[in-house]
Amino acid sequence: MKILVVSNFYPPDCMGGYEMGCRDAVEALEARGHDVLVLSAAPRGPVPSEPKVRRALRLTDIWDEYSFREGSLDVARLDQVRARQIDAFNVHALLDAIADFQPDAVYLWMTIGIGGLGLLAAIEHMGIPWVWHLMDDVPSMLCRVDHAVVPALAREFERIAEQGSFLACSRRLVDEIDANGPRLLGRVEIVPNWIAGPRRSSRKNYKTDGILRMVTASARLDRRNGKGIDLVLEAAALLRERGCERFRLDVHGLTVDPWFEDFVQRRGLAGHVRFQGAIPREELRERFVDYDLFVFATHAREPFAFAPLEAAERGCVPVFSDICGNAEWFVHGVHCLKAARTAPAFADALERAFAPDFDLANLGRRAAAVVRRDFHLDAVVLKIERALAKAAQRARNRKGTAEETYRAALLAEKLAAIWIYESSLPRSA
Amino acid sequence: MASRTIAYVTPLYFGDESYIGGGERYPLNLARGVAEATAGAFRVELISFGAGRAVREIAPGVTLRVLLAARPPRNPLDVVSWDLPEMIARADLVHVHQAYTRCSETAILVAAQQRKPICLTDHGGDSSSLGRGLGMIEMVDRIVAQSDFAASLFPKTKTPIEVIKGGIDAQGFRNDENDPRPRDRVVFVGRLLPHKGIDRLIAALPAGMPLTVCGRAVRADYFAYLKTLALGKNVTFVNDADDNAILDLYARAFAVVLPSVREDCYGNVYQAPELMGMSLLEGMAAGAPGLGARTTSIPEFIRQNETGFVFDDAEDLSTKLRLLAENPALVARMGREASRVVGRDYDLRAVGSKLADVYDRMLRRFEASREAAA
Repeated sequence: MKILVVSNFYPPDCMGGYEMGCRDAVEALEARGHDVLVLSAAPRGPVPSEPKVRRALRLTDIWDEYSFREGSLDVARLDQVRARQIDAFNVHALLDAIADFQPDAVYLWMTIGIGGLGLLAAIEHMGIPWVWHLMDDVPSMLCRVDHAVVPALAREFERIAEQGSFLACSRRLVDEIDANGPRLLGRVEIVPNWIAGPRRSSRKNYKTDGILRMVTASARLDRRNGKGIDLVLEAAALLRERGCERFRLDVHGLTVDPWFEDFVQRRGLAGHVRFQGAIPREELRERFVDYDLFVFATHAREPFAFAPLEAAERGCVPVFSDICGNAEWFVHGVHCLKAARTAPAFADALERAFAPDFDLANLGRRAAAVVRRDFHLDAVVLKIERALAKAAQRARNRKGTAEETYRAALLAEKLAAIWIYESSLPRSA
Repeated sequence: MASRTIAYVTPLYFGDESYIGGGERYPLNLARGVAEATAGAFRVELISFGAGRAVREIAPGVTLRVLLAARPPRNPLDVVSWDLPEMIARADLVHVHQAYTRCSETAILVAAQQRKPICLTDHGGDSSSLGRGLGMIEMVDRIVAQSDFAASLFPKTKTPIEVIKGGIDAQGFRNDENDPRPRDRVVFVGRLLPHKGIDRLIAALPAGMPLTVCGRAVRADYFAYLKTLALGKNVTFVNDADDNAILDLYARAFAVVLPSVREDCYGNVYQAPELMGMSLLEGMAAGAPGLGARTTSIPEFIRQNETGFVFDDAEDLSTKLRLLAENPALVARMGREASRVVGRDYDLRAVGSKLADVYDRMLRRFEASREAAA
């Protein structure tokens, strides 16, 4: 198959697991003999060029908080529209890629920042079959204007979505999308996230020297991102209060919130907690073999993080909050530990693992086995491939031209801009 | 066959709570004509906008749906509603009335995205250049123009243009032959706006000849100017006539005049002061000879010396007015012919039938292309 992949970022330019997952999938599909072209945004810093990666889209960097804070409100609102709803420049680039590459199917990934709603509408208008891999609540984000889902946009999304297929990494993600705004009325298949690459050896000995070695990780250490690193630290503090001193907790990620280091100092955790900074994913994956537990007190909106899987592969037992997407794939006490998303509940789970009679090794072995068997990309890619093939074979009863599609995109962009301009003007009497 | 739904999208609708103008009455007449001519095969949803939602059946087979305007726009022609996509989704075909407004641009965009067949008719409203600059008319499947002149105003396009002239309720304006009234005056009916050229009519009006100017005084300054011009002449202004009063006026007219101008008395230039001229046709339907300025679409609707006269200037207008005033037999002959031609060619049922044929062809073609693609 000829597969056109559309993603806002593409490694080495990336924000997190979504884009890295995209690259994994691209490489796996190529390895299975498919012809894949990646259409992504111009990177936020220099990256080497790759023959099958066309970085021709314009990124509206709504994650650049400084620029947003310093800029005018109207420009920020326009940027939000361009990032989420429509960027005619990007529709043009997409149409070019479609004309050149003639894909059998488009495989969509994260499309915030590149006018994802308009891109989806353009693909649908052109009658190109598509599959969208969801690892976040992107549909509702695309239908938001001024922080609220616009029902009319959501309904239009649904009309378009009826024609396509979705792969979603967890049931809770699908439920969240359905609850927030546009429902996924097309075909939805739940496909788990994965580990990729050669299978790695796993940990053999646990609690060596009687010390429980724990790790937690997030791209950014920021209490606002909901990853729960703060809860993990609070749980660690509770452990100490309960007399459990023989543990070590390594925290990986870029610190952007001084609260974390301050908390460690205030609660006397300096001898137990080490901030490791941000390290490359591959390096972290190598290090997981050194830990007994991966502590992941993430929020309910977590669709399905990659890092706990990669930890589990190395026998590092995941301890999940019981409401996150990862938790629905693993059995408590068999492959993982689950806890309510509170510091005391996590402290209870960690304390349990501390107990001399708690068989952490067995848990780690089972976790590693299930991840290697069911969550390796070698297995998951077959499902992705099947979804793309099914989409490509679907009869399309309507096909638009590139000319009319681009004209519509330009019109939509201009109408949206005027709408923003007008809404910022004082009302006349 | 199941009834098909045609969505007519118009920024304003004919009514006191929206707007009273030809651009609003025309879609309403077409809707009635299509529904009546097809006896239920086509239903028309007249979609417009207001401060609150409303739905009402305004004629057999014609429903007015007033959508909640998303935000009061600076120009009422730029009104949009978040409800519009849902309404368009329910339609089999979308006919957008007014070409160059943000309302129409939005409707065309939504309909194109939803892959609905799109028909477009312009009524001269012009509030947005976005679509024009982008060649938006290429996004529609068919343009329907109400005159050759209206058709000529569209830029060169690949979109087929159908000219379907007329669209007035000729039956409703037909004179009651059992109740003949003396045809003793000149009549103008329309909004009192400078581009209508009423000042020119009053200036050309021979001394003593009765003229009734009937219409809403939209601009106070122009109305004051008209009243000044009318001093010493036999001019009556009627600003609040209802339908019956207008019928009565037409029945008493020996000439119904449409003196529209391209350049008004203030020096303003209009590209399209008349795309059809509904009041002229209505007066003619009522048996009055038509007297129209040789400008824009007006000559297309008058058969010179048969159904009325086309005049070139004020002197010519005066001459033709005197000729008709002095020749009741000519008035009767021309009036009969005018009523016959307008009733046959420009009545909304005849026009509705032609329009339904256009819709039918569009829908058949659309369905065939869908089947071919599938």
